[in-house]
Amino acid sequence: MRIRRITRFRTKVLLSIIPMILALCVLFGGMSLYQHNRLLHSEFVKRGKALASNLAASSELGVFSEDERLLNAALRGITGEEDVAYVLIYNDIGKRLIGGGKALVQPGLTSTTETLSPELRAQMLTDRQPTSTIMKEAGTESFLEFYAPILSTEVRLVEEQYFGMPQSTRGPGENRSRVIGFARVGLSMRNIDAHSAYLIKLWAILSVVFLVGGALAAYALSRRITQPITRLTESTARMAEGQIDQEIPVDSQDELGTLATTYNEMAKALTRTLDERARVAIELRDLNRHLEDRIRERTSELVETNRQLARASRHKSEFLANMSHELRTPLNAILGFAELIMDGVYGTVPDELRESIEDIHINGRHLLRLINDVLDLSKIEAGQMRLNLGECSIQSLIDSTISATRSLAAEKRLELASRVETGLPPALSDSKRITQVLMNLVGNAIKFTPRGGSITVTARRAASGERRAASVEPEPPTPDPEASDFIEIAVADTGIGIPAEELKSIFAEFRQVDSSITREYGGSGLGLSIAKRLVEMHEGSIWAESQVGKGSIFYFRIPLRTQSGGSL
Amino acid sequence: MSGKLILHVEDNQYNRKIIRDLLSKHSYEIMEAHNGEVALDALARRRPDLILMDVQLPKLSGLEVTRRVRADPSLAQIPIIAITSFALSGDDRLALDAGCNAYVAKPFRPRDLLEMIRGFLGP
Repeated sequence: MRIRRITRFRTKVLLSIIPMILALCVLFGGMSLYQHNRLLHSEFVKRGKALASNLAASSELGVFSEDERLLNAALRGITGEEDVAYVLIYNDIGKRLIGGGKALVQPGLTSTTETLSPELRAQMLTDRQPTSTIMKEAGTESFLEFYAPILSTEVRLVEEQYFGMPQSTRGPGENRSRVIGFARVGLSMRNIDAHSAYLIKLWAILSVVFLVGGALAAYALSRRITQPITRLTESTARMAEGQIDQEIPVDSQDELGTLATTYNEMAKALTRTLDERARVAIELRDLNRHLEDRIRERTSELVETNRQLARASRHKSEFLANMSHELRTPLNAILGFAELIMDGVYGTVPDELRESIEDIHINGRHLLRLINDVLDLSKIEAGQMRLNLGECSIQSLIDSTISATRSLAAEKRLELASRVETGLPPALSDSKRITQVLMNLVGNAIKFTPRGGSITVTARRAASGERRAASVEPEPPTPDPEASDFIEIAVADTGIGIPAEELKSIFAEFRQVDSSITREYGGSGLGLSIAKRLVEMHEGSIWAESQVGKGSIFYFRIPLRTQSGGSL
Repeated sequence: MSGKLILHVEDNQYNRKIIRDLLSKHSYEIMEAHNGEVALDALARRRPDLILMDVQLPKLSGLEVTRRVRADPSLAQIPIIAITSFALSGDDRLALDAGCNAYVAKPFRPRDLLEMIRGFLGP
């Protein structure tokens, strides 16, 4: 498409140059041809007239005497001229006296035999001047005719002398000659016609030469313009295809040459830029590869470390599991024998021994709880604890917790009550673990509430985002927007309370508000930590509110889900 | 009183003694085995009225012994009480799946175990 546009430009140049040359040739050639022809003609006429006048002068005597020899002599003087076709001499009344010339032998030249035309004779008798140019056609040849009157002066003088002609009829200074005959010369136009034809031919040839030459020159000129443009266009197209390293020849110093030079510089600059960019890209790629290698190296190191850590963790868990089993077996024996003694299997226990045996039993059970807690925690941390999910009634979980702890509460004369919202749907959870959490919270409440206090367990349905004031834990996370509802369980007591600065850390391992509390109240210090992990395994949250001296409320929430709503 | 025969499979001698002391006090006849193979030998000799099966045993696990008992038509009806070690690890479910009728977790109160035995064999 670009190429066609340039071709059109060349055509345009040709189309504008050729008519100009054509017009010049026609105009100037035609003009000079016309001028030349006119000149030729007038020269021809002049010559013809002169020939006629000469003939008239030289034939005066011949006509006068009507001597054929004299007349022939006069004719011979001009019939030798190349272009003289015929010569005729008439007497004063227009009768032909003699004729000669090449053309007279030709057939069809009838006018030469005629007498002189009366009109011409009358004209010449009056003005006595040679007259010209009556064209005679004979076959294919054209002739130009010239007439001249033959004047005689001597004859008049003789007449006056011998016949006494009065002179008074002529004015003073008047020519005293009289017309005694007429000379007629026919010139052939063959030469002049041939010359004209030659000129026309020359003009035509020159015109064609000029036309072709001009067209060639215009073509060459336009080529000089379009060729660099075409080269530039083709080079640009190649550049567009990606061959950036282009150089086009510079063969002139004009605007096109400057354009080509600038283009070459641009291509060089572009090549340099691209080379630079390619170099940077290679560097970047190398850098990237290096980086990737290092990342891969590090990743494999990390994977290895991870594997080692996982192995170590598994070993730890296995160790703890085995250890707790090994610890439990003798402990089982200790507790078993203590209970058998207390149950009187070995006979009546003396009163002074009973208290010591009970102490053995109490401490044994404490040790057992510690072992169990450590085992639970290590299992959770090793990710080995799996929830056994099922739909269970929160009401029944709370009821069983309360009935299991009722005797403990009664020992301290604590009021233990529960309040469960009516129509609470069953929760998808591990009932054993939720019971474990409840047992821990209620057990703590019983432990830290002085005699005569009260403990209340409540359960209700809560919307996500809803939160009781003065809470310490951050907003419970809502991992699943579908599970917007929770079951919230609260264990409130009228116990000793927890100082605000301690509330944050009560869910951490081995934390009790005061280590002396462990001695006074017992417990492993792992219960709340385990409860927190268990609630979080249910994608729930746990937190506490407390006022020192007034009591504490422990809350935990688990998302309300159905069996089909996804499992943990 | 009852005189019923109870097979106790347990590898720890002290635990065996506790059960022996407890049950003989309550007039049960005791047959003991300290691993699974011995237990199967004992079963081949005498048919007990009830089996107390420790789950964790050397050589042949208590669960495997239970499965074999259940596979033997002459023994299949004997009640088996599993004694599990890891109260929290799911051994209880494994025991019931293997064919035990009930389970107690170590450490158990001798009193509670006695209650459970009486539940199967009558007072």
